[in-house]
Amino acid sequence: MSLLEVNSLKKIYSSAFKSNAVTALNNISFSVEEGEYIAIMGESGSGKSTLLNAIAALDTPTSGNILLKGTDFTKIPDHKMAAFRRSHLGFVFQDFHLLDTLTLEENIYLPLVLNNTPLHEMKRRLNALIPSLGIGRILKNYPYEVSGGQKQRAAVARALITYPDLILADEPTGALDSRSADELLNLFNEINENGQTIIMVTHSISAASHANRILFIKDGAIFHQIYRGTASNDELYNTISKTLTVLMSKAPSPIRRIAN
Amino acid sequence: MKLKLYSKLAVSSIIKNKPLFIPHILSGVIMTAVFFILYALSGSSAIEQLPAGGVALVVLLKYSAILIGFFSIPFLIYTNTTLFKNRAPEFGLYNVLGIGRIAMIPLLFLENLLTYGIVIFSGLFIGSLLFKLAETILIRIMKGDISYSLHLNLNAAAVTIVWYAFTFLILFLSDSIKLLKNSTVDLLRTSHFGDNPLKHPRLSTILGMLILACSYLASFWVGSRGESPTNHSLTCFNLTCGIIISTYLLFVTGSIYFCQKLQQNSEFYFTPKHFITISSLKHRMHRNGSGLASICILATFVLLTLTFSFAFYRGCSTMLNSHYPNDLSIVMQAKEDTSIDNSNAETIEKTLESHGLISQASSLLSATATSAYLTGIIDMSSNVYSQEFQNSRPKKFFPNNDDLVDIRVISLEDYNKLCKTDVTLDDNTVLIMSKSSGYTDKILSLIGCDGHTYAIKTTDTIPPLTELKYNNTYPEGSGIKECYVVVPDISSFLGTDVTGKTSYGYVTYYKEYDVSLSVSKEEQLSIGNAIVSDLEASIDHSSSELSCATRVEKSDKLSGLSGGLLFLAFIVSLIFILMASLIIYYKQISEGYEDSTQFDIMRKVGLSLNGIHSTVNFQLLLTFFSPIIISGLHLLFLTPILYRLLAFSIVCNKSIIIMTTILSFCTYSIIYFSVYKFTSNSYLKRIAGKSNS
Ligand SMILES: Nc1ncnc2c1ncn2[C@@H]1O[C@H](COP(=O)(O)OP(=O)(O)O)[C@@H](O)[C@H]1O
Ligand SMILES: [Mg+2]
Repeated sequence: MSLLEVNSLKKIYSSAFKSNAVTALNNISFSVEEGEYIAIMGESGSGKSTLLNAIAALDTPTSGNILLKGTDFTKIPDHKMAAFRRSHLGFVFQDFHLLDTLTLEENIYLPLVLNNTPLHEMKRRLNALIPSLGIGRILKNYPYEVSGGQKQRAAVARALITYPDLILADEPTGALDSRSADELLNLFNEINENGQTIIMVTHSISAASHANRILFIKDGAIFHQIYRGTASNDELYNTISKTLTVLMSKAPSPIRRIAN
Repeated sequence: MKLKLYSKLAVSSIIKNKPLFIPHILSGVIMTAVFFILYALSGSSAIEQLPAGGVALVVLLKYSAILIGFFSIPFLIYTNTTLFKNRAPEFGLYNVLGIGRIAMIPLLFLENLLTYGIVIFSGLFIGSLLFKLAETILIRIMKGDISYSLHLNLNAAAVTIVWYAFTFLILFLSDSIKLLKNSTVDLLRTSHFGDNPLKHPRLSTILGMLILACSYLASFWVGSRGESPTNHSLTCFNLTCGIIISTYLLFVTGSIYFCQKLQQNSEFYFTPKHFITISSLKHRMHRNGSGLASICILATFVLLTLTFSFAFYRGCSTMLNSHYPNDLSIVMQAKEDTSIDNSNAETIEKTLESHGLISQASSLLSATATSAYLTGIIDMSSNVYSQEFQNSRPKKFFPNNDDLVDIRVISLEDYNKLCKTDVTLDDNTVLIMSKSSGYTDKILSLIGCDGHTYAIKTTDTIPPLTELKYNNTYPEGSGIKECYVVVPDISSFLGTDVTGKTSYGYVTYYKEYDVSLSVSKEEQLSIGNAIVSDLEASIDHSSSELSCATRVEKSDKLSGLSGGLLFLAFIVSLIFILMASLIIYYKQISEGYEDSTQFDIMRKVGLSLNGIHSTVNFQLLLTFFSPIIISGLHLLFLTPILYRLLAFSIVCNKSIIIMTTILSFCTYSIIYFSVYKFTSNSYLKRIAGKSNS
């Protein structure tokens, strides 16, 4: 059994005036095995965030279903959803999504606190994370007092601390300088090597070249996918850029370019 | 040229930042309007001509005006800080674009000048409109009897203009300092500008509590003195300042210190229920503490005003009964160094006879004297106002009223007649009664004016004096000890030689005629007017002062005045409440966006919608209701002073005062709550709308 199965997922955004409905996802199906590191690429507006939000159960799909370890969570009732989300899924967002009212330490604890985890257990888990994340000295700071890279590492710590089945990251390097971005990608590789499954949406080819598998999305459907196999990061980088050239040449609107 | 550019920039920046300027300007307008109304009222001749409590009310109004004036400064600084905080990035950007910070100062000045202009103009406009409205109603009810002078209004306007010019100058200076002191980067860091951690939260919390406790104690102290609080104006002023300062300290630092303490208790803090609530509460108080403190102080003020006006309104009939107990009363007061002029008394009786009223009239001769009360002995032999007396007494006992007693001497004959009793007295014995029970029991003997000592007849066998209708008595609860001394013969008791004794406040003779009229109101009025004009013409004014009034006439005036005051108080309170709510509302809206992103994050991290809603609700409740709860507490502890103030001039009934306090609190809460419901709904919609999408 796969860790995650996405079956013919469809998402239609319909505004109050039915006439201009947008089909953001059009029959997407794929599965993710435990321990995989998947990058999702595609043009802006191609439906990447919509897909990730559906997997994150932040949004309900129009049709289709998503199974996490065999459980269809599109069928989980609303009031149990929050608890399900915080015990099975971890998130990393482009703009960090840290609460300004909490210190970094408290931000990291947040999902555990909501799960009623005892304090000593929270401390134990955080202490185990600190060496690889290098955030030991800034734990008592507030998010607005530290740099973007530090914020993102705190956000990663918050995602990891629940020992989630799956980490979902939506353009996690999007707001970081290249050094911080590299550090974050190395961190992702490290946690992936420890067995953590990751799905990451990205615009950046170099970010995607860290993954084991790359899914290309176009107009709400999977257009292509690349497996790393035995390729090195550089080889993968080349393959990805070639694929993207093909993807773009077929793009309906030549003005829409991929960033980076 | 440069000026033109700057003024253009100033106007456009105010227009562009309308949502930020509106709450600030609105607060300013309302502060000036209320200041103007209070100040103009305190100089209004209508109030001064009140039969009772007029002087106290004038003092109270002036006092309130001064308080509002002073209070405007921190309040407007608060709204201005919020404004500046939000505009800091704009200034930072100007700086980046190459406009020097010094060069921005004229712009700031023009902006403040413009704001001041709008504020003062609209404030005075609204203020005079409301004032005129109240005045018109007053004059109409009082049948144009009160003369107003425009001069006083102009005076109030001038004071308002000058005072708020000063206030806005302070705002301008604080803006300039902030602009010069902060680096460009600090200015650019928009949302956290000025969010510096507190320096000594513990110290200032303790200080705040201490000041508050002292203020409350001082209130009880003033209340426990048996005199008008206007005699302790310095204490009252300090106490008011104390309450204002401590309210600020507790809201701004105390709340945060409290949250910090809770956060330090990990077992308590790291639970789903408390974690988000406490941390966001701390954040919110950090930003809004001083705003909430301002609102709390305003609310206290509103409550005091409302209570006072309600009590005044409710106490009208009591006041009427104590000051005008009879349908028609004619009081003749002997002037200095004279006794009652008997020919004048005869004139009055003749006049009454000519109107056919002599059978309905009863007359009473009495004399009042302020005497010393020292360890069980009332001493009437020395003039308490004389220098020798004051010098011979220990300072702390004088001029404290506890040591003085106001005596009204009446003859046994009059007493028996009025009370329908048959009491007899020995030559060396007097009867003593007082309104405050238990007091006369302690009186052992009385030294008369001539130094002769009298024995006291036991009082418990004497029927109560409530049957007696006197004019010019002090209200019960005023703290002034008032005794009735019944003597066989007044002139032999006081001595036949009155020279030097009947000076002001020592001994004064009264002859009063109480007439009951059993005709319609209109007829009572015309009878009263006829008698007044007859007496004015025929009485010898050199020996006596005459006052003659019908109860009907006074009653009309009094209820008109109290109604007008209540109306005005209501308007002022309503403005206050609306202002407070508007400020909160604007804050909710401006923070709504920021909050909604925070709640969005919480939802993504795994907080359920229910959890978010209960957090939002708790915060809303707290921001709305903490000011009113604390102001209720202030009101409770200020009641002793309020009671004294009211008791001294208007109402003496404790239950009326308690009722009016409760009534005003409820009125306030109801209005406030409806505003809360209205604003919180739109806020919740905003939050929910954001986090559902
Ligand atoms: N809440 C929404 N309402 C309506 N349309 C939306 C909404 N969110 C996204 N869309 C549309 O769905 C499409 C996919 O959006 P998104 O998943 O955000 O793209 P990506 O993340 O790949 O840039 C876009 O055309 C976008 O306009
Ligand atoms: Mg996106």
